Amino acid sequence: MNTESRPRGYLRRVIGSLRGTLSLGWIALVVIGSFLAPWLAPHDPLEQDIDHAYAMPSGTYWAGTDSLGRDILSRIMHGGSVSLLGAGEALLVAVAIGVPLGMLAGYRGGVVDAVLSRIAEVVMSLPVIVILLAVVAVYGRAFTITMGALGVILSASFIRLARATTEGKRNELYVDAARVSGLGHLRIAVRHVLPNITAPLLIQSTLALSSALLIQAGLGFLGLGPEPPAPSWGSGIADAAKYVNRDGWLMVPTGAVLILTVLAFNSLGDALRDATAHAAPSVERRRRVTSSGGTRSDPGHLLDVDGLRVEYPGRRIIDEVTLHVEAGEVLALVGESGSGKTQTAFSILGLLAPGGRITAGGIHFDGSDLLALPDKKLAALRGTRMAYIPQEPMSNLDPCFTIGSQMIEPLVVNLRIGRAEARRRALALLARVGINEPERVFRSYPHEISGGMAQRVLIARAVSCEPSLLIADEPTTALDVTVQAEVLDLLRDLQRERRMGIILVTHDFGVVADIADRVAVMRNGRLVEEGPVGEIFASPSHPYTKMLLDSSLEGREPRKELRHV
Amino acid sequence: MLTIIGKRILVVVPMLWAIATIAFYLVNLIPGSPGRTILGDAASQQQVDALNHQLGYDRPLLVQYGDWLAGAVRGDFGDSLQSGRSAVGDVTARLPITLSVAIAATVISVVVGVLVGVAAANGGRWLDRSLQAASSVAMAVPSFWLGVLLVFVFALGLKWLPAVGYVPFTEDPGEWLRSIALPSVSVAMIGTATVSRQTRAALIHELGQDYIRTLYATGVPTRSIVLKHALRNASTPIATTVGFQFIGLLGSTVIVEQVFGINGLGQLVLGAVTSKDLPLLLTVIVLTTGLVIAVNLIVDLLTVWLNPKARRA
Repeated sequence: MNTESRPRGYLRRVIGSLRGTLSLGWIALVVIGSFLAPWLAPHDPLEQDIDHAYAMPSGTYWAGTDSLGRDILSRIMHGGSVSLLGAGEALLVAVAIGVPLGMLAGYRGGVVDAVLSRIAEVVMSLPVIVILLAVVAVYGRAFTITMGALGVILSASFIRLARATTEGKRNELYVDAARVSGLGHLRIAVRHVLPNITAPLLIQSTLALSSALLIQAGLGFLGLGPEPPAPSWGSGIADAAKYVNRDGWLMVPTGAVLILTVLAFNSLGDALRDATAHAAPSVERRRRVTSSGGTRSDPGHLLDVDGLRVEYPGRRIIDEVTLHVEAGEVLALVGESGSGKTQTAFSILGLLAPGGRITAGGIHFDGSDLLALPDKKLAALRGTRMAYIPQEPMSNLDPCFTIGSQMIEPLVVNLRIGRAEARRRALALLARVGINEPERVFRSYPHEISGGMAQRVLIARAVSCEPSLLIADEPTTALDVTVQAEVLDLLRDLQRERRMGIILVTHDFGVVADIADRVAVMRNGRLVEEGPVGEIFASPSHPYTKMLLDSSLEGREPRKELRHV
Repeated sequence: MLTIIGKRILVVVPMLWAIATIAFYLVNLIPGSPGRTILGDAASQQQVDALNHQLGYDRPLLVQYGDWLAGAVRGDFGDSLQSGRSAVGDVTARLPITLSVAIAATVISVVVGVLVGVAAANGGRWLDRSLQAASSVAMAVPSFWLGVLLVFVFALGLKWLPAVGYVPFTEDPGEWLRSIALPSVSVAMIGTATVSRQTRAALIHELGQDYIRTLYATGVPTRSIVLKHALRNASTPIATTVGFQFIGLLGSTVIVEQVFGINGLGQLVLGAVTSKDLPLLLTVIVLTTGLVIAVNLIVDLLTVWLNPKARRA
C-alpha cells in the first residue's frame, strides 16, 4: 500500500462526490457566516425592535424576528461560532485523549490494553446528559469546561477506534520490519500506524462533531448554554418553543440551520466512508435474463443448455456453452477453478449473483423455457424438480436454525405436507444418507456436526422432494479423503435409486471415472470438449483435456493456469 | 448460559463501583456546602458550619466516601437536601415516568427501524435510496425540536393528543398511552434511523451469504428467506445497536420531558443542578448509569442467546 499517494487520492474522492461537495459547502458556509458574524450579520443580535416582533422573513429581516423583535438570522450567525467552537473543542479533547491512549492500548496489548479498554467501557456507559448537567452544577455555565467534559466522554469511542486499528496494523509485516530496523516505538506509531487510521479517524470525527452539536444544543435548550441574552442555537429553539403558540415560523430558521449542519457532518462521514475500500454495500436485485428465444431444445433431453452466455458488469464469464442432460444420466462438468462450471450451474438454477445475467442462449428444462419463465414459476421448480448441493457444507447451512428445522421447511413448502409428516420424512432421509443418530442430528445446530455430516444433510435436503435434476457443485472437495468416497457412493446410490439426472461439477477425473456417464470439459468460460466418459478417457481430442487428465492421474489438482496449452 | 450470565455480572460490579466513585468525587467538587444549600444565603456561617458538622459534611472526604459507599451498597444513597426525603425514593418515584417514555421509544425504534431496514434492503434501488436519505435527515433532527414540532402539529393544530402532562398507567392506560405518544416519537426518531441503517446493512450482508443461495435452491419462498433466515442471522448486530442507542435515548428523554412538561427524571435532575442538591445528583448519576449498564447487560445476554454457538457453549 502506498502511504504517500493514498490520503491525497482519498480526499479527492470525498470532495469529488456530490455528497462530499454539498456537505463541505454547507459546513464552509456556516463556518464563514458564524466566525465573520460581527462583520457579515445584517443586524446586532441583541438589538430589539419590539414593533417588529414575530416578523416573517422580509428584505430587512431575512429570516424574520423573534419574540423581542431581534433579527433571527443575526442571532443564528452569532450563536454559530459558540456552537462550532464548542463542538470543535469537544472533538479536539476527545482526539487528544482518545487517540494516544487507544494507540498505546493497541500497540502494547496486555494489561495496559485491558485497563484502558475497561475504562473506555465504563465511560461509554455514562449517561452523557446527566453527567454534563452535573458538570454544569460544579462549574456553572462555563461553556469551555462543559464542552471539555463532553470531549472526555467522547474520547472513549476514539480509544476504541485507535486501539482496534493499531492492533490490526501492529502485526502487519511493515511494522515488524520497521521495528527490526531499529526505529523507536513512538516513531513506529507515528510513521506507520497514524497514516492508516486517518480515514477511520476522520469518519469518527464527523460523527463526534455532529453528536457534540446535538448535545450542546440540548444543553442550550435546557437553558444551560451560554448566559442569555447571548445567542445560541439551543436557546434559540427554546425561545421558539416558548412562543410556538403565537408564531410557528420561529421554529424554522434555527432548527433548519442546526439540522442541516448536523446532517452535513453526518453526510461528510458517509462520503468519507464511501471513499474507503470498506464502502457500505448497495442494494442490487438479482436480474437473471436479458435475452431469450431462438434456441434449440431436444424433447428427449431433461435439460438443454444452448449457446449460453453469462455476463457480469464489464466481464463475460461464460460464452457459447451448449450441453444437455438426459433423464437418469450423470454429466460431469470438468475444468479448473474459474473455468465457469459453477456459474453455468447457477445459471440453470436461476441463482446468479446480483449483477450477473444471461445475455445470450437458452436453457430448457423438462419442456419449459427457463429463461422465459417468470421468477415465481422458476422458484417453484427449485427444490421440487431441480435441486442443488453446494461445495462447502458448513457455510451453506443457516447457523441459527437446527438441522431439523432446515430439513422440514422445504418439505412443508414444496410438498404441502404437515410438520409431523415432514419430520418423519426428514428423519428417514437422514437415516438414508447414512447418519447414525438421525434424532440427535435433527436437533443439532450446524456448528455441532462435522463437515461430512453437514454434507450428508445437504444431500438429504436436496433429494428430499424427489427432483429429477440434481446439480452438485464439487460436493466432495471440502471433505476428508475417506469421507469423499462415502459421499460419492451415496450420491451414486441415490442417483440409481431415484433415476435422477445429475450435473456433477468437479475438477477431479477420479470422480468422473467413478460416477459419470458423459463429460463436458470447460475452460475460460467455454466448452472445450464433450463426450461419453469412455471416449474422453481413451482418446481426448483437445490438448487441454489431455492435460487435465494427465495431471489428475498424477494425483495433482490442476489448479494453475495452463496458458501454454 | 448460566456461567456467561455470572461472568458478565462479575464485570458489572467493578464498573458500577468505578462510576460511583467518579461520580462521588465529581459531585463533591460542587462549590459551596450542603449546609449552605439547605439553609440558604441568609444563614450565618456559624449556623452553616454547625449543620455541616451535624450532617457529617465536615469530615474528610475519604471518610464521607466510605460512609456513602457503605450506605449505597445497602441501597441507601442519603437524603435529598431539598426535599429531606430519601434520594433513592425521589428518583424511583420519577423513574416510571421517564422509563415509560424511554421504553416506548425503544420499542418504536426497534419495530419501525427493523421494518424500514428490511424495506430498504429488499425494495429495490430507488426505495433504498429514498429511505437512506430519509434516515440521514432523521438522524440530524434534535429530539427536542421534533417534540416542539409535534406539539405544534398534533396537539395545538389537530388537537389529537395532549400537549403537556403525564398520566400514570395505573390511573388510565389509554390516557397514559396518549400522554407518552408524542414524547416517545420525538425521542425515538434518531434511534429509529440508526436501527434501520444497521438492519439494512446487516441484512444485505446476510443475503449475500452462501446459505441464502442454497436456501433459494431448496424452493423456500423469498419471504421466509428474508424475514426468517436472513433477519434472524442479522439480529445480533441489530440488538447491539439498540443497546448502544439506549444512552442517547435516555438523554433525549431527559431533555424532551421539558418540552412536554413531564415531571420525570429530567425535571428532578435539573432541580438538583440548580439547587446544588449533591446527594440527589449523585443518586441520579449512579442509578441512571446502573440502568444503562443493566440494559447493555440484557442486550449482551440477548446476543448470546441469539447465537446458537454461544448459547450452547
